[in-house]
Amino acid sequence: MLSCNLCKTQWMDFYTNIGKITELQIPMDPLILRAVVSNTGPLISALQSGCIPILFQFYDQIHIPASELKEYDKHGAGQEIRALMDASVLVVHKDLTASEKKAANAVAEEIAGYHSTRDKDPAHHLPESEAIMLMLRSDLGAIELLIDELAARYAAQRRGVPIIGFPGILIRACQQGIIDPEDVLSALEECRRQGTHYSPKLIKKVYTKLKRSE
Amino acid sequence: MKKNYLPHEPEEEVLSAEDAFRDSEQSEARWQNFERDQKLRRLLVELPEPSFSKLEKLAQQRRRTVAHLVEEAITSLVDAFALPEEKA
Repeated sequence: MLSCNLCKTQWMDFYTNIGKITELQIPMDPLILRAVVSNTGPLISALQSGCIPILFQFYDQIHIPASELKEYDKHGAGQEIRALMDASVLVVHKDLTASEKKAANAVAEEIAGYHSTRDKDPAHHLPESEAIMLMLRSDLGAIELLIDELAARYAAQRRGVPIIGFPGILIRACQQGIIDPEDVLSALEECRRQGTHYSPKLIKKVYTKLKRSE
Repeated sequence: MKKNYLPHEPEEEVLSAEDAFRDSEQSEARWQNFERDQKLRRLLVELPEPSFSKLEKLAQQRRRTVAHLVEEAITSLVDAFALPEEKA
């Protein structure tokens, strides 16, 4: 796909590769567009660990709500996100309808109210709520939602939205032989070093299980 | 030098290792179904409507996918027309 080739040249400017990843693979069937929606967390984790190429091993197009853009800027990832947008592999949706916005507000309230949520301000949970709304659009064709935070995952699952977190994507990549357990370990540790909340227990368990099944 | 990024909502609880493996397993199955359905859709898209949408409706009613229905139909055809020696 042309968009993937464009993306490849652009992300190569930003990242050093990890492990065996040296180039983006063109999807096996160029007529099949593999679309997903992402919350901010997994994309930040992919940037922190230099794993953006792994995402595009599995996905051709990532959709996000416009409300996430401010978050990427805040995290220092605005330039990279815009490069992905220019390459047409990241699609930003500014077109939430009034009813979708209303429903997103209700989801944000729900997320803020969960016991596991530390930040009780619903306004801070709007981006993930809007991402859930995008997943509920039948015309988008998105297959899963990339999301790590526990409370938002509950809210998504309650609405029948299929989910996957960033560690799950790394596990898939490892099980397909794209990367090895050491790459998964170093990616998750790098995210943790940069402050992402993957616990040492999670990292150790993922690595040990992958290593055992080698 | 490698660029660092500020973490996203570092105070919030994230998924467990068990969740991650479950995610991975379910995602793999989803994408396999998706690719199979897409390939079949490309074959069937040439069917004049409402044939394709009828098939989709039928699949939904039976809690199956179009891919499953077509697979079953083709398997029956092969069974019906295969020569005895091929069946053996």
